[in-house]
Amino acid sequence: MKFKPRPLARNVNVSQGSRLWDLCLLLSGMVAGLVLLFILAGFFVDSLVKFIPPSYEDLLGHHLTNNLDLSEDPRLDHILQRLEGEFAPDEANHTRHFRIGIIDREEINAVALPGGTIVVFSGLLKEVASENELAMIVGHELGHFAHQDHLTRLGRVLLFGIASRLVLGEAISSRLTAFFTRTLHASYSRRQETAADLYGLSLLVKAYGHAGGAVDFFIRIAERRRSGRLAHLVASHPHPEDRIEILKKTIQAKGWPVSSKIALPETPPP
Amino acid sequence: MIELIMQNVGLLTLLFLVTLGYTVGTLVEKRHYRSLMKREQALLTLPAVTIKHDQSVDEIRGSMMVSGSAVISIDYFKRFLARLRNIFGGRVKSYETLVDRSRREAILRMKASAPGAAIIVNMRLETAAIGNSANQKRMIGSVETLAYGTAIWLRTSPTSEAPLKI
Amino acid sequence: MYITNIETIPGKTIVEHYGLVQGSTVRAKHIGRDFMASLKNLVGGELKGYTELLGDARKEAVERMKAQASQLGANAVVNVRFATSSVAQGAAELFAYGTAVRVE
Repeated sequence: MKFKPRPLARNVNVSQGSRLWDLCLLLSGMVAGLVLLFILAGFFVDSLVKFIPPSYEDLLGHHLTNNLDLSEDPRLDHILQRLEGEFAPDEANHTRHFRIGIIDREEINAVALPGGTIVVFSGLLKEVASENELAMIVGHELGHFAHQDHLTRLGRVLLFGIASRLVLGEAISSRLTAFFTRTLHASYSRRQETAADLYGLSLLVKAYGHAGGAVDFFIRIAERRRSGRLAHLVASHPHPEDRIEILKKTIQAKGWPVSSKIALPETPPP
Repeated sequence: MIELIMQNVGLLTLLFLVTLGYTVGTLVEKRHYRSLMKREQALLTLPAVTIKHDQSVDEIRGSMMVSGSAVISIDYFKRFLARLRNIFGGRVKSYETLVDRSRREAILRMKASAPGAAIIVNMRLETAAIGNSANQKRMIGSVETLAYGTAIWLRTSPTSEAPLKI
Repeated sequence: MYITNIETIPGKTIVEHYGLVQGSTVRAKHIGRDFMASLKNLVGGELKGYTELLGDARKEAVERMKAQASQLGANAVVNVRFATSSVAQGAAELFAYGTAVRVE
């Protein structure tokens, strides 16, 4: 037995093909999977939300909002009462009980929480110039309740987060899903916001008889925050200018009058 | 724009690490393969075999167990690719070069520790996992290979003047 | 090509040898199989999916080893050894190595 040294020309233990191409294939497969997962989660949540009884939601909301430092404001209560009188008798909002209050935060925002609680941030209240503007914002939040957005949003984010974590594993999902949740959710959420805007507008017109103050607030915000269009591709709310345009077009199409606004009274004594 | 960057810090970090892992990792790997090929060519005349060699006793000047080992680390790109591959299943190409490199390096080191030997017999290879924690965050992922065998020096070998370390 | 895990090919004589040949492959299983296996872990029994996967991978490792051997001009591989290491989570490395020889 003799040894014959011979060199190996080809490495059979390493597969051919570009690793980058591999990465492209795997990534696109994963993105497709995530999109599918998101759609499925959304469909599941949307159809499930209809079966949640309001009593259970109120209980859930009670737990969530119990330790919120919510201070009452007679001006907000007044607006809410005025809008509540305009619900159509056949809609879900008609039989519900709503609560409204202020939280001391600088953010210019208002949120609809499960259980019928509307929270207005004090930062927003400072920006508001008339009662009609505030009524538009409260109407917008009531729109979220009418479309059950407050539940679907919570459910979608929760379910998608859990499902993607199960499929992708902790390591990848922590970095990637946050981005995908935001991006995928953004377009859905923008549609919700626009629908709530339109609901709020029609409620405003019904309660006050005209559409005055519907766009004033958004115009002021748009001037204040001149953020680029690019950032709004993944933002949860539509670009303020788009909101203004849609609202103005609707007002024009319906032929609603725009009259003078009612001034918001100064901060009431505590 | 800055807002957009701030929102996606996690994703951008990932992108940066994957790019870094790919460029530097590929460079390091290419260089390692070049060096492997050069040294393998130089040590081509020293065979390492898995069989027990039957040289007649009087020809043998001496024998000794020799070993060589190497630990090769994965890079971020490979790790990311392997994690994705874990979802879909199939051939984990990114780790193939890793085990290949560590094995060849270990064999070369074993051969290099037996200068002047005619043959290394009954060679065995041992591979330690790329750390079961390789897929987890902040864990070191690497593969260790140990090659060991018995080197045999012959009296009639042309390089019999070479040192025999016994 | 002859493959054995002993020193010789019985009934043949080894005339030349070409040194070490090796074949390896790293395989991962997909999420679905992982999920089924975790269910099976509750009740025990054979993990058919894993058996199949590892079997396929081992076959490929041997094929790669044979490919190396034929590159060297060998017609047999003797004293073949197998090694399996769990390379990273959910992936396994199958490795086969032996001595490439020519028999007559």
